[in-house]
Amino acid sequence: MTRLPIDPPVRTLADALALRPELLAGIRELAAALAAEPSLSPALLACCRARVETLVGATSSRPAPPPAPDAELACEFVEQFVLDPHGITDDLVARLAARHSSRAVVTLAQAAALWEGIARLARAFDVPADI
Amino acid sequence: MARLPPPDSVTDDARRYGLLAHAPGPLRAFLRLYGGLWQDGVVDQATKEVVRLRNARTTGCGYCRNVRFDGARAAGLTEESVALIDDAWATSTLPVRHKAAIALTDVVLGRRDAALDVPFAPAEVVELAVTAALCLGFSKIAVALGTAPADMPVTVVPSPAPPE
Repeated sequence: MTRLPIDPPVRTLADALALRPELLAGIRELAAALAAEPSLSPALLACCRARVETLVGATSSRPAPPPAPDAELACEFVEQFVLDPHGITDDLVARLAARHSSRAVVTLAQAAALWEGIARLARAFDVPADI
Repeated sequence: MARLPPPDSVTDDARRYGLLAHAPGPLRAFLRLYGGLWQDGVVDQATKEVVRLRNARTTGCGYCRNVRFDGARAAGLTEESVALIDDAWATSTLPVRHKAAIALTDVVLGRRDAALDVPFAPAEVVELAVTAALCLGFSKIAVALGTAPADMPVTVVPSPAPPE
């Protein structure tokens, strides 16, 4: 079922967002800035992004990422971020901060926010979360 | 209370945006995106403010819930109207356009399966949906990192604009 219908229908999230090309460009710029952050590994970020998409129920054309050995705690944070950020405890952030820099923790929160937003837009438009 | 120490360097971004300045590249990209959304959009600021406040009340961010953007005030969104953005919105006296914006927000947030049949143009639908998605993320970051107060007085601030 199309939750937010657009006429003519679109095939991907990029197609939908192209109706506001400045916003699509801005989202891509933000995604690129997060991917370029040196504080977290691409493998860890990929695992966390996949977890977000699973929780929201979005699909994408990206292949499933391989397991990242150091991603478990970051994924725990991201999962709670999506389910209910009020459930994120001081202890969880402290454990994350003991393993990663403040820059990395902030980057992870920003990335979770963007990925959840993209996944929820994809769900709303009933399209893959490909931008 | 913030769950991380503030950035070491005292920059304008650190003063204004606190913990987010730990990652300056993504912060500047977000500010350009969010500022452009509010200043250069195809939807009036009052309707986007309805979306933002609907998300704020759903997410429970004390900061987002109590801040008002001055551009939305100038576009006619009163505090009396803001009070109607609650669970009884569907039977309230809110304008149809604002009711439709709330329904659209609830679709993006996963609280509702379908939008209302309303005369938003496709580009407006996209802009409002992106507004909901970005506001969701911003408010969740504030909650997750402990930077949002539990409550605060209603405070009018300038509508976001891209950084210079």
